[in-house]
Amino acid sequence: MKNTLCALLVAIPMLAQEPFPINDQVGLRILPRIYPKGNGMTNAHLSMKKDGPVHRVLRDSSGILFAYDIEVKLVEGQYHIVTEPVNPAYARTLRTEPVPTLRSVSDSVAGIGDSVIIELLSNTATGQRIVDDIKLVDITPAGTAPDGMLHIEYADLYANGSKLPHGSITGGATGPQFVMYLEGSGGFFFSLMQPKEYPQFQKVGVVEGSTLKFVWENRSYELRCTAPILSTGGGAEVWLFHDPNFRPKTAGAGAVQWGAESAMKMWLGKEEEEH
Amino acid sequence: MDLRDLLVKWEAPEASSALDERVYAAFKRSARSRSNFWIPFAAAAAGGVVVAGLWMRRPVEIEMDSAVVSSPAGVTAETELNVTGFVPITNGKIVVVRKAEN
Repeated sequence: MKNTLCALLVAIPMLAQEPFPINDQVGLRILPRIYPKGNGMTNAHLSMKKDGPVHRVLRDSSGILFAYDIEVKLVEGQYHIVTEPVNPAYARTLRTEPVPTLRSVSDSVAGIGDSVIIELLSNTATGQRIVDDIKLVDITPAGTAPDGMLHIEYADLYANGSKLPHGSITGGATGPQFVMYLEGSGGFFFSLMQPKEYPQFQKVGVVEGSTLKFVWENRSYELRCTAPILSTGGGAEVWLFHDPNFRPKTAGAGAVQWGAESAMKMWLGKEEEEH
Repeated sequence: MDLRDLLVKWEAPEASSALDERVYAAFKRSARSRSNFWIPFAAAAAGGVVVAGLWMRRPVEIEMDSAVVSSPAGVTAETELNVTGFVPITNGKIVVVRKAEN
């Protein structure tokens, strides 16, 4: 089995995915792989709660195929990647009964660059399997130069001076693009660069320190964060789009959801492939 | 003595060994040609079975779309597959591949 999985690592081209930062030096990267053949996935870069699990979900058009939790712990100088059955409270939000998950908890000691590979799904008709390649990666910042990212942390969204219902983000995300969904208000989509694949974006936003201000359909919005939005602490213009009727199609339900560029691609679709 | 009586008394001469060999060789040639006749058909049928088996087990192209989405419930790393037919492995193997082996 080990040889098979090692061969898998060599046989399938690496598909980039940005890590979730665990702390300032170490990130967690999850890479689904198909053996013996497969392709395609999008990138992601997102901050995660340092003390909480990552919920891992695989689904198809019919529903949830598999879900489990991943937690990284630092014990006596060693990183432990713990995979465990999906949290029951979270599983209830997936609207699938029962949610297929792991039978037991597994604790794997892993260093930076090591991979923990876990089998998740199989197709007996084709012999294909889908595994997750979970890796700890070094994300030590290279310096203080502008990184071209929006750093949204613990933000509140105000419209015409009033905080929107469900208008708080209790975590963060980092990426050149940022999206958020608020129940009752729809979807808000931000990008530092013009996203040419999505013509509905307009350059009507501006970052000033820890606040992102914009006007959409005669309403003035402010996304107030607890830390500077740009790595330089300065300002920049922002492209954005707001759809008050938007509903995310991601599996995890919630009145408030947010993410970076991978979430934008999944929520808005891959229109760039048609051009 | 008429012809009928002569035929009753007549005995066929012993066949020579050369005749035996000729007849036996002719039989073998005939049998071999009959058996060779089926070889291409059998080979084609076997090949067809193999091709059909391989076709049925061919890997299907799978596209995955992944996103990381946060909510107050935590961080979700989600992957959407474009095909069906996969079943969960609830006791799947877990292997640690060290950096040096990657």
